[in-house]
Amino acid sequence: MSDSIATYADAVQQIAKAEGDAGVESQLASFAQALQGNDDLTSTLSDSSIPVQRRQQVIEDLLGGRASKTTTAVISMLVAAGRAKDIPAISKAVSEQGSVGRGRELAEVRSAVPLTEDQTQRLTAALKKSTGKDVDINVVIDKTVVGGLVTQIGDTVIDGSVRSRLTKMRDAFN
Amino acid sequence: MWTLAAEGPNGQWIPGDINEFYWSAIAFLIVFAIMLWKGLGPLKAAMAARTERISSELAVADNAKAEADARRSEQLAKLGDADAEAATIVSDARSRAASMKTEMIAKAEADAEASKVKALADIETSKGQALSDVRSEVARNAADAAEAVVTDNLDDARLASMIDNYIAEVGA
Repeated sequence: MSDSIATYADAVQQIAKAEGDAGVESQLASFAQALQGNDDLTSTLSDSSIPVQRRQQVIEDLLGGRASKTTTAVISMLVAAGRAKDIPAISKAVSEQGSVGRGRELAEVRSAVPLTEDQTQRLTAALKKSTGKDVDINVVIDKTVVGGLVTQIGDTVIDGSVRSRLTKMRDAFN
Repeated sequence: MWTLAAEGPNGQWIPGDINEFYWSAIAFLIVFAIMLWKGLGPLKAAMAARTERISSELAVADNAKAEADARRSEQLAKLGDADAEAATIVSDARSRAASMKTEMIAKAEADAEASKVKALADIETSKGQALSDVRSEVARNAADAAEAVVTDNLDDARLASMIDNYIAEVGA
């Protein structure tokens, strides 16, 4: 993690704490997840030829009613600062810092499709049972996974993706 | 003076006074005797000196000729030596050329053999590489086809099922 990412993550944490908004972390994670699955949106928010006000208006339109004012303001700030492409990394850093603050571990889960709430809860319980630790889940949409999931907790990787099976199949062919 | 002529007017075969003839003859003989008396010695000496000089010059010429002959013989001998040396050089050169030819032929044959061995090795390597490439291509195509089949059959239900199975395995 670069220093600038960590600094922005700190700033987001401080803003959320100052505003008393505990939902910023999860809402930012959801927005980051949406951003990763939409290259056009990422390009639009990163396009410096589009006026900042116009890009911030896009944020307002997208999040209006779905996220708190604090979350919307944080994301607008990041877009205005030219950090739209870094939002997934900043969100991950915010989640890691939040998990550490709560005495929990952050599990990064890579999936080709978004997880339902039920799947997220069951996966959280399953990871707690498997590792013996309380975990927070940060889902990253990654089409290269193809199917299944890849979970990373600290240095531990639990790979149940179709991609890894296809890779093994290719290795077997060779 | 000795030219024959018809008898002159005096009835003699010599025209003029015959006494004049006698006196002239006597004077001539006297002058001739004096010349013999005074000139014969020096003339003989001059002739002898001339003969001696000519002999001396002939001797010098003979010596020069002998010396020239000696030099010529010496030069011929040297030429003979030079010819022998040239023949030796030519012989050595031929021998060396023959040796070099043999060496060059041997080297050319060795190079040709090495090239042949290398070419065969390259052919074998290329053959192995080609087979490997074909195998890799076949494997890649098979893997691409298998992946296409898998991804084409992954609908939402299957993706959800795979996630559920993953969660079940992690929690087991």
